[in-house]
Amino acid sequence: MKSNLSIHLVYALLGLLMGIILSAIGFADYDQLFKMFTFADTRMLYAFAGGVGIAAAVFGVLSVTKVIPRERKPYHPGTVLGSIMFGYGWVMCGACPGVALIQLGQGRLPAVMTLIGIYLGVRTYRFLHERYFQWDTGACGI
Amino acid sequence: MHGYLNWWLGGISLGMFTILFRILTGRTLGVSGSWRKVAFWRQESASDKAFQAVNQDQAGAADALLAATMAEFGEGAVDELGMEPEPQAKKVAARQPIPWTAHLVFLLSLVLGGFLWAVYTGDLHISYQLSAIHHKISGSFGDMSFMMLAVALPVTV
Repeated sequence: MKSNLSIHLVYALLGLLMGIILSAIGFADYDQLFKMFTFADTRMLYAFAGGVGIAAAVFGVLSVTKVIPRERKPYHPGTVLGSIMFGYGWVMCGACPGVALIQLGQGRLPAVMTLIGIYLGVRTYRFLHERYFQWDTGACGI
Repeated sequence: MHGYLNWWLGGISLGMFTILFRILTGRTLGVSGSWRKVAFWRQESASDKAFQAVNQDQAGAADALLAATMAEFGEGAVDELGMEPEPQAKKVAARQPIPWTAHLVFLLSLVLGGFLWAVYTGDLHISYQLSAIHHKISGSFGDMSFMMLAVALPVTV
């Protein structure tokens, strides 16, 4: 078992790396995002699709060869509506839950409002989910 | 404006990072999950402790059963059953939940990553708007570009 310190160090390293990679691609830049969503510049769209494709291919091979266990990601009624809401929020704020933090690191103060919104959204969703939906989301293997 | 990675280098970076995350943590990448862990840190901590307690009991029970089987029928019986004579607790421990503080560190490191990139590119400055385009969109809800984004959204997700 990994020690508590090494787990924290690994997560710190990964967070740092992710912040740098997303910044280097331009995901924290609203203008780049605007170009992507309006198809004015497809660079980030291709980068995103490329990343998904590479990860999917490698995970597919690793799970078929049983190097890693295949993880269950169930479809549920909230998948489509949640995706639309996620995308809408992404366009409005120029950020997903990770990018808002990166924007803050770059000194963009409106990201504070996005972060407050994300926090409230996480809490509201849990309340609604437990009270009304209770879907099996198979969330992220956290 | 500084140059960003071209599409194929960006795609490789994203893909490799996702794989690296899975290899190092044993879990799939999900920032929303980290937010959940931090936002509900009290409940998640209690849940993790309960999960560990149950699993440790299961591991203890599995070890006891294995030991009893070996004592009754010998180690050969374990081989015949295809069971591994290793303590089950080790396997369970590898799937133990990640503490919420590690998720907090992950989220804070994203801030640091953005900061370091901005310093490196000389683009670090306090800004009260995300960009001129965003200001134009958010400052004028009747603007056609905003409507276009709203309509185009279901197509892009």
